[in-house]
Amino acid sequence: MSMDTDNMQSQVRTNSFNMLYSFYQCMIEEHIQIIYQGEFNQQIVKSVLSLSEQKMASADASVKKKVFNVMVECLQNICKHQYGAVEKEGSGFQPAIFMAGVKEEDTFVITGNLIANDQIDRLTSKIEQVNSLDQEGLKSLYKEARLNSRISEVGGAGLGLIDIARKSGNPILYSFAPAENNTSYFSLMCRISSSKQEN
Amino acid sequence: MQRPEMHKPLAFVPTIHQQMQQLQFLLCYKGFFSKETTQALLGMTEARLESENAGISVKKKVFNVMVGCLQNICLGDPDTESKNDSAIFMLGKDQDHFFIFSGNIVIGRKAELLKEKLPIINKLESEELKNLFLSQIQEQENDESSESELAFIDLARKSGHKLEFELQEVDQNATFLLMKTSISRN
Repeated sequence: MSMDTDNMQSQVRTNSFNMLYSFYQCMIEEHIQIIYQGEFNQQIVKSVLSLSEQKMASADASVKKKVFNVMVECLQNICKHQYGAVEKEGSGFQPAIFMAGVKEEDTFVITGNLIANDQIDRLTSKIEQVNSLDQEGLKSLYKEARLNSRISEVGGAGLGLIDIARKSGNPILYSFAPAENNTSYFSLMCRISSSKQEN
Repeated sequence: MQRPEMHKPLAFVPTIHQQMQQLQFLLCYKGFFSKETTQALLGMTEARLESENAGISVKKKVFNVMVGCLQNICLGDPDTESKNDSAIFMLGKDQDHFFIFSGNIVIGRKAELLKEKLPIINKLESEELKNLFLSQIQEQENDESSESELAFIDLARKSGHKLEFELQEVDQNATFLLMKTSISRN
């Protein structure tokens, strides 16, 4: 009996380690180096940034600055919207995720969080607009947005996405996957090229 | 409602998020462990423990265990330097515990040694661990294997739980050591 229990425990442990090992393999395949999931507060954002900064210690200063700017914007987006899609006390609450890594010498930042379905159209058109513009167009849009926008309910003036596109110099990749309770899982990826280019 | 198509390169994001939740992970770091990244990881863990309202003694235990795990990673076989980028550190929690997963490559003979020593360490009770630790310190031969054994005895003492581990063969000479160290939340 005790032997059976031991075997069962060992099997559960092996399964859990197998799952962990495949998770680790997934991190390698996707070139991810940092993952944080959970509640984001000021102290955590600060320490995520500090870890990322240390991780990039050897990178070129201008690339480092761009990555840092993009990270700040992405983390701000998470902070502002983490309780937007569902109530904190509600059963559907799902904490946001932040990931960073390096692929083919380019640094990427990924965020994932739930958003309400009625936000999808607005967000899609915003990202598509930003993605359709070149650096000059983004600069003009940024100026225009700064002059005309009002601070929205969640505290942002809608400048974050424009700034992310300006700093990263690459189109913003995004996707929505259906989730429960009229929400969708919103993934966003920004890639910052390591080659020097004036943005 | 018509939704934009899923960008294929991003399909893994919700999957990873789901896995993180299933595995109850809060933080994962993979790569080279320098003094600076180690400090930043400690800072991040501290921030996370703060937001979990962990008590001082629990925080202290988590920190001690974490430092032990990070030391094990950093003090890995010098020959593994080129593979050092594969080391991993993860912090997680369940209702009753915080846990730390650490993973790193160990080279041939050391893996055999761990296979032999870790089950012995796991059979010992707190007092026996203490005695073994003290006797090892006194008798410590200045070689790598006794240093490594001492580090694992210390880790078992600090955690107060058995060390769960798995050794996965990478190639003929290298083995990946995955270890779970738990710390009670109360």
